[in-house]
Amino acid sequence: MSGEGITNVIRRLRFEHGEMTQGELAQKVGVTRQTINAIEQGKYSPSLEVAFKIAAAFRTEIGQVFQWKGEA
Amino acid sequence: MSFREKAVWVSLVSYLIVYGLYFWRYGAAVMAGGGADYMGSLISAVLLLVVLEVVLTIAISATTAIAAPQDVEAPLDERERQIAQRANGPALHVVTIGVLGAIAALYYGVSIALVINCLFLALVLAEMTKSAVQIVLFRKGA
Repeated sequence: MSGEGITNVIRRLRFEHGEMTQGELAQKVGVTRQTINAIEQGKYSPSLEVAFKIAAAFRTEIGQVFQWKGEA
Repeated sequence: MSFREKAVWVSLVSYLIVYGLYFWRYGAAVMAGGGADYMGSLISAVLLLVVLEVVLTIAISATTAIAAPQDVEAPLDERERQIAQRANGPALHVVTIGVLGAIAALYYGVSIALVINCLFLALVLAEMTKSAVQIVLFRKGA
């Protein structure tokens, strides 16, 4: 599923967390590195479960990682 | 390229080689007025496909296991499952067209061997369509 409308700051958060690699984040979340890459580039919208896991990996709230930029 | 994408490429290439060769030979036999006793070759083609896929899968698993062993062991994640499901739609259309073609062929009195091969061709094309769509979705990062 395309991630149009949803933006994220995963790249910045990875940088702020000791330059965590996509592979390391993928391992924490339980998905492939390619899926993290697709989410980061906005090409794929993750499920709520994966979105929460990504936020948890950065010890933050989901709203701090993902933002909705489309129309309501 | 992910391990899953490589596996899909293996499937697509195996199908192209094995069934391309099979249907090429079958087509030539039909054109020459034969082809009715081709079921033995069909079974051989299926066996060859299984062997080729197993050999190629072992080869890519071995090379991937050296570079990224976790990729080989990891189960499908949600995006990979979604890609596989999305590829089923176009493949189903191909099967439907094949079945309708086979029904029409039966109506016009075409030999059973030819109808069976038409149905089998539809299944092969459906599987190749599924692989091709998956590769496109993997490439797009969908």
